[in-house]
Amino acid sequence: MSVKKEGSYVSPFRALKQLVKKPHTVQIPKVVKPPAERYRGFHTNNLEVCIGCGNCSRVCPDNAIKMVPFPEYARKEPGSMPLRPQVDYGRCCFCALCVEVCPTGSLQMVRTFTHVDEKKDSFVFIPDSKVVHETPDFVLDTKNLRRK
Amino acid sequence: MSQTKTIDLFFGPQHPGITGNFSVRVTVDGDTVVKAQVIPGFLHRGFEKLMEMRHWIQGPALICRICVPDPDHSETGYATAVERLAGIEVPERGRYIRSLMLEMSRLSAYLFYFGGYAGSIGLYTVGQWGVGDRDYILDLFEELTGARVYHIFNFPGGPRWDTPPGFEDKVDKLMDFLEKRLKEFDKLYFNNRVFIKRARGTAPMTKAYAQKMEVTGPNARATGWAIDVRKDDPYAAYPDLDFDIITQKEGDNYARVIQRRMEFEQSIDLIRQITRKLRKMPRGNVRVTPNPLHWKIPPGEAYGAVESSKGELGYYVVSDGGIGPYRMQARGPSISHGVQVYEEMVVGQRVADVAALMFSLDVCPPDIDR
Repeated sequence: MSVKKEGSYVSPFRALKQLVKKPHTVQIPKVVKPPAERYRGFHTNNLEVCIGCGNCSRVCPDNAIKMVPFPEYARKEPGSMPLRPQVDYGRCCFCALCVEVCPTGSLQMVRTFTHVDEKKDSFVFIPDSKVVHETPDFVLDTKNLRRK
Repeated sequence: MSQTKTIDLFFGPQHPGITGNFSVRVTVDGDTVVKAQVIPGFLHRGFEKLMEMRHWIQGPALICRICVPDPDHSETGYATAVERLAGIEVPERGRYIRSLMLEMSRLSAYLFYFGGYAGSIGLYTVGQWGVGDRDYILDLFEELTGARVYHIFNFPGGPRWDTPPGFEDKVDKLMDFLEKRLKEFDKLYFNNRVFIKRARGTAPMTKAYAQKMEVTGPNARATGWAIDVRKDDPYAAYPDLDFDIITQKEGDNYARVIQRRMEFEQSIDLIRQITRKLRKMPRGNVRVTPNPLHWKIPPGEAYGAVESSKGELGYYVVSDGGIGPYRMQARGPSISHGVQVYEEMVVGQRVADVAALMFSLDVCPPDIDR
């Protein structure tokens, strides 16, 4: 045990040596720290592979996923429905339960997590194969942080 | 003889000396507190009722929000209760990953705690160091779970995924770093005479009082009461790990802080035991969960408790055979520490110690309100 009973008035001043050390913080946006491989950000959905079963909507704990009609995807295979998930990112908690229960594996999550807009409707959209803002998934979208 | 005039002072909810959205009205006579009344309720979100509307699998996405600095214990407490109810046996590797997460969560909560108490007595550097070092733990959480604060990872049946390749080495490297940092913290904080003079002898609690008021966790162990859910009602991988219950004697602010500092060292040792074991185990099998959308649990009731960084955190779950809990009740440590105990212990203390006592008891207002 290195805790002493009486303590010292001098020992805290040894912390001053930290002043000559490098800081632990990074300067965003000059330095971009990529999120981890497993980071849970926005969704992508392969609309051709998706069968519109609605499992993602049923398992969502926040009621963030609504199945919306997509008549162009009406197919005759059993279990296939002309519906596709629409995600409300004002409600989504990024738990990824929807991704876990997707039977086709079409619904996935990418590492992009930044979206800034003054219109609230822009936070509700139908995920497709493109990543939001069409940026690579490991770069912070600093351009969109500035107001247009 | 004329009566002294007393003044009512409001601490919180917007006050740096309060641990969150919480308020205390103290009546002071000069510099001494003569009466205190806590005002909780600013964070009431109705978790217990909300759980009744959810599937068994949806619980962890909600209840991790009960205690923000230490969310993994909430998830695991609920998961343990549901596993006992459903008779599920978590695979060995899953149990070890769960314990690894819980100890990492304890470390990050204690780093917050060190900074919180030090800030309340004017030693602000400790808080900056604590939050900075905590971020390295959050980086590892991000790698393991995909999220930094609310991990939503410990489901009934086991943790969600196996560890990524090389994760154990990264954890060991971080433990070496934290052990080195703990020596720096000793110099700056735990051996700081300003801290010792302010904390020693302030608001002492006896073992008998702790037992009467249902005080648990490090606050109880600081009085000399050897109580620990990890030993008394083992869960996850704790039955296989080698550790002793650490206790102090005095039960004052100093003992409560030093108790956590000693447990910080113990957690580092536990994490090293876990990573050693994880390296030897076959990878892959970590979780057993039936189809989450059609998962029904037979009628019954069960209680699962975990030793969180604040004390015993338990979940009582009742099933009527449906797809979600019929009733869920949480037993949090902060309701006894922050309401009953705090109101009594703060009487007789100086105004300067109102915030210090709250931080030393490690009160978590979201856990009080729920």
